[in-house]
Amino acid sequence: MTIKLVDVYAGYRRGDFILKGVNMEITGDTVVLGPNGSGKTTLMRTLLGVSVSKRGKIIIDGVDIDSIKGAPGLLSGNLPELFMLSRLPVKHVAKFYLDLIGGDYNYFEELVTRIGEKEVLGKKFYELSAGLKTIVLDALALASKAKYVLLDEPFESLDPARRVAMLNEIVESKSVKIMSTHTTWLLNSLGDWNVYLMVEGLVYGPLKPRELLDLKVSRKPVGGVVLSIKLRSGGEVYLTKTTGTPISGIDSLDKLYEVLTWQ
Amino acid sequence: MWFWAVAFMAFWLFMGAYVYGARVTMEEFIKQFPEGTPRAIIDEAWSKFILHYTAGWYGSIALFSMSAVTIGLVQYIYYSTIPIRYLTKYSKATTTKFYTGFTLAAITGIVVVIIVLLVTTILLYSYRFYGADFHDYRGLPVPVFKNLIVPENPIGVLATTIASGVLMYFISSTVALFVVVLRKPRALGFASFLPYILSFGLGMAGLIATGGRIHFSPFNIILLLNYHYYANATLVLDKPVTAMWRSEIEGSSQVLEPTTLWLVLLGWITLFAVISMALFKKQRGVNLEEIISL
Repeated sequence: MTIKLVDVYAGYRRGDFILKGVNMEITGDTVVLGPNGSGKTTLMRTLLGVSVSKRGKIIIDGVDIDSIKGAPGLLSGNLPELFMLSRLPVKHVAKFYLDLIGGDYNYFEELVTRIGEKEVLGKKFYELSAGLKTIVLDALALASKAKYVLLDEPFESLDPARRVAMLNEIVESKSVKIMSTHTTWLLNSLGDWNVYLMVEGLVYGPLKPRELLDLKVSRKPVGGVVLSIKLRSGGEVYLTKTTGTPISGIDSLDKLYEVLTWQ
Repeated sequence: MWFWAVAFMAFWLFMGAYVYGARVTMEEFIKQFPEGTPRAIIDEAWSKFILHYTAGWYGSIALFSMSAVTIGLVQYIYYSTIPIRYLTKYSKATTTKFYTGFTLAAITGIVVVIIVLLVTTILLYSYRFYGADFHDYRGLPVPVFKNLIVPENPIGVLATTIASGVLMYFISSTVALFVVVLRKPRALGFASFLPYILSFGLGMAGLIATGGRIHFSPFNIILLLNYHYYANATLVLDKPVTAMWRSEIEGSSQVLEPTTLWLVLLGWITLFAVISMALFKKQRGVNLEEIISL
């Protein structure tokens, strides 16, 4: 039960890659943590097999992703581009999709009603607020009950109460979750998940959430370096056990570059 | 779609009946006959001319309307490339099922649009050329037409509409997938109007300007077959459609059999189907950023 990425390059134009040689082995619940623009969404699209341009290998349960066809229940995601443009109400679109991928519509309805609001079901997707769109997309991915569920920024535009409710739902899901986010507030709730850091198209890790929260960000190669991250600018960033700005104090990894500038 | 394919086309049908057809009157028509021609012959020629005139307008408007449907189809197929790739991998849906569904949806949409335009043509042109008496029915004026200009071969019109729907679907699919394969999302706006522009250009040329090989273009074939089945008209290769009705009187050495047109139409359908399937296999989809940037 693994998803293996071997030297994966992916992007949108030939020769211009966003992912620049990603190697990962996903064996259980995983969170990919990185600032905006680091390539998290591209990684999700590539894992779903819908990236525009790709090099390298992705093996899901021993099968090359390019040769997977007609495998309902294997993988699902919350990316909006996976869903066809439709003028039909959310409930009809959800029924159609969940029927095709072998999901659980009743669970979808219950989840959307509980975390969002019941009226969502009768509305068209494009009429929803950004937060409600996130809830619908997350609910569709979770209700698929797929073996692997990919969740790209599943808390985007959600208010604090809904963020926590959605996180609980994700943690309790029996699927193997692969989640990408730029926020660090959730790390304390992720127990035994594997955490990968993603910066400028490369992934680093895995670490456990507790390990990561104990690390500090430094521009200098001080003692106790656990990870070193190469930047496009030519410099390097070090995650150390001893000196620097604690990761637990950076609520969003978008601030990583600001922290480095301050140092 | 409803505006371009129905409302705009109904406007042109009205123009054909009342503006371009303003001088199509019995008084003008009768001047072509030598004095003393029996009235029965003139009446028969008049009804034949009116049938051909109506059939010519219906044929061209049906063509333009179907190509208007392709504007929406091209965009829908373009935006569906990623969901289809995802769903064919991780659901029980297959590419064949999706494209069969799309084709049937396109045919259904086109048949509905064409029925609306066909009824509009019959009522509008029957009223314009034969008139109607209005009877009071519960306070509403209900027209009773003196004569209805209906298609001579409605089954032929229906068969042409269905085959044209298939052709238009594959033309749309080819155009949309070319945009995807070439990774030129900004060309989508122009590309989606390409079948519409071509059908206007080629259709109008074949309708009023010239005959010859232009009649074998995928767009002109639709016009010709509809014209033929509506008026039971003889088709000739060397004349534009508006001049074809005379060939029944004057004769022509270049008579075009509908069977030949059907074979060419099937050839076009096969060609566009093969190209669109090859492009579908080659395409890798478009990404959301490119769609958003449009």
